[in-house]
Amino acid sequence: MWCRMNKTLAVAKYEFGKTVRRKAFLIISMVIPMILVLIVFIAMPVLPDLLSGIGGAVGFKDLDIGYVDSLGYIEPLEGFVEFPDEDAARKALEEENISSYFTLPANYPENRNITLYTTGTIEFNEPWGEISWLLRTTLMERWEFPEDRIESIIYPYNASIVKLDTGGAIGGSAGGPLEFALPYGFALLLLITIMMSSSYLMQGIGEEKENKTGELLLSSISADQLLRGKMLGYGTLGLLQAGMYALAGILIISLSPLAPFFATIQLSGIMGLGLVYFLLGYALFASSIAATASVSSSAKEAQQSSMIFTIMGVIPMMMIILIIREPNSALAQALTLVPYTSPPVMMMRMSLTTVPWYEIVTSLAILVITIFVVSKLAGKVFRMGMLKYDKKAGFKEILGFIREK
Amino acid sequence: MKLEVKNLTKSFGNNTVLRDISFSIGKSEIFGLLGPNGAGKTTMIRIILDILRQDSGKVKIFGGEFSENVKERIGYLPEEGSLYKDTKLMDCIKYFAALKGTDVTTSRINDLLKQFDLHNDINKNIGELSKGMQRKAMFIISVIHEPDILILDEPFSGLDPVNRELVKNIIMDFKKKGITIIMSTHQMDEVERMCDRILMINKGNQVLYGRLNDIKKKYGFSVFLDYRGKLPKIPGIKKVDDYGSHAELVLKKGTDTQKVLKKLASNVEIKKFEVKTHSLNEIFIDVVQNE
Repeated sequence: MWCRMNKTLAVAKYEFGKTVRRKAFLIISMVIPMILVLIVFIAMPVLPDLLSGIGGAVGFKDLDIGYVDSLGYIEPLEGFVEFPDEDAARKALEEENISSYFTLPANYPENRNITLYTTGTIEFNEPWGEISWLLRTTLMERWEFPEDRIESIIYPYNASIVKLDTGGAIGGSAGGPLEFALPYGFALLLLITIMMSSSYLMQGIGEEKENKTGELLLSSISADQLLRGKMLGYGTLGLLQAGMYALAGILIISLSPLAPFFATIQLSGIMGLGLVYFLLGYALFASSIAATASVSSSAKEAQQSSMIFTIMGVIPMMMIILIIREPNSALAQALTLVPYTSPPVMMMRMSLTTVPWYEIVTSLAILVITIFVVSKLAGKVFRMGMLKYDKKAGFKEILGFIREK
Repeated sequence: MKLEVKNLTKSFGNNTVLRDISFSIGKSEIFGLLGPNGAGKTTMIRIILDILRQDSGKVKIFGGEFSENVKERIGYLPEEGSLYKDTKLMDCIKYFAALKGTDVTTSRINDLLKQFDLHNDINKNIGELSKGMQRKAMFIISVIHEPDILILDEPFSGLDPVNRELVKNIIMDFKKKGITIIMSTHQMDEVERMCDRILMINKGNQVLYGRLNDIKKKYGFSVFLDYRGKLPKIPGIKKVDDYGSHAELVLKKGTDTQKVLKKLASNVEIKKFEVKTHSLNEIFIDVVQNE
């Protein structure tokens, strides 16, 4: 038993070591994430300037907003500059001392009309949020609202969010859009990792088919040991690659202005379940692709034949809008039960809604049963397929492989 | 007996590739597994290696059933295939040794590399080696774990005459060390020189089996004749290749060579009369064509 395990580990170690030293792997897994981190690191200090540059010659964020108050209503506040007349305000705007200015005309109390002057493009709600805040405070002070009332009106709530599941029970904290972004990113990472690992596996088998190494290998080790070793080696490789991407993602986020928001998010049980889905999803894709690659005659042919699994893998990404709109729709539920689509779809649904436990259990059970059947068939096809050179095996021949003792 | 095969039959669908094959091989024996292309030799080897399973019949190795331990006591050099081109020779040998469950020492690898004249290529990638060198590297891999049974499928394929001789001598050394060798080849001259016994398969049937000399005797004799005159019709002759002053007469089984000589002497002037057993090549062609 230990000897068998040793041989499986020897295959895993060899396949891992062989691929991890390849230039293509190093570039995809390490150099690209490092370049991205470097770009973000270099760009971050100048990013606000760059963004304001896109918005126009003058940004709204760094410069004060000017105003001309013909009523004498407004009390000076930080972030705002008062000008005695429009000429002075316009001159300041031209000299880029202010981002914009507005005028408060004499009839403002009757019709609330103001005019904003700017040289740049108005982005999102800038600078209306600040102007509204200034005018609200001014008016309330003028109407002699108590100090604490003013604060209550300006900031009417201190929010905390409680998420309820379908039964009405408290399901944990809801972190808003970022809580969706993280598991969604995790689903994408899971899919990429499964696909990359399977693709390395396919390439490895394709090369062995081209080199006709199968017979020599099978004289030393059983087909099951060989297949398990390869799956283990390339699966570990995929996890390493996912780890590198995740690390790069964390670094990029920590360098970005969004870092404080991400810091508040607690990783829930979704991550643990994500790992289970990764392992099962990978086992399914890897055994299917290994069997397909073993009956092909070259690496190129193996890639073409395995395209069907790649398409099945990306179906959830193609359906993403429909799943986001209705995470409990019949389509989303069905995709959760289809073994080849369930890992990423379940990750997406769990980030959007509370998926009933029986759906999770059913999906996992179907996945496990499918893996059991597919890996049994794949083992038989792989054993015979590895011995067949030069010509791709036909459907009838593959059935013969499955019937082999 | 190191290997015993009894009434072995194997089919792929409706195609029976091996039919009721039986043979046994002892210690220190070089056993020739012969047959034309597609005869079933590779299937036979794959069954011995437990890569394929027979439909019926028994295969006993070292007196028992096939197991993981048995696999580690067999070495195999396949006819086709190569090693991982982007892997160093040393790493490749170590990897295959690990698959055979052997924690091989560097000195053992170096000894073999020297024996096969590959010691200067230890740090080269397999892809940098010539075809002949790659073949020798595969040979090293097949014996790295010091097997008790060594199966060689076309061991001389892709080798130049110098390396052929080198490999032949190494095989004979293995025999002296007590290793049982199964050799599948179309090089009949090598089989005649090296093999103790042979098994010939044709279209899945066992057609010849036994000691080489016994088989040859059983197949009768040929007469090589230098003469002057006109060859008479002689009873007991299966085939005559007449070149005017030289002829090769293939005798039927049981034909008395003395009677042939007397008949010839009374009709032509004999310069040379030589009786020889058939070559294995002739027997091979005869068996395959008449099956």
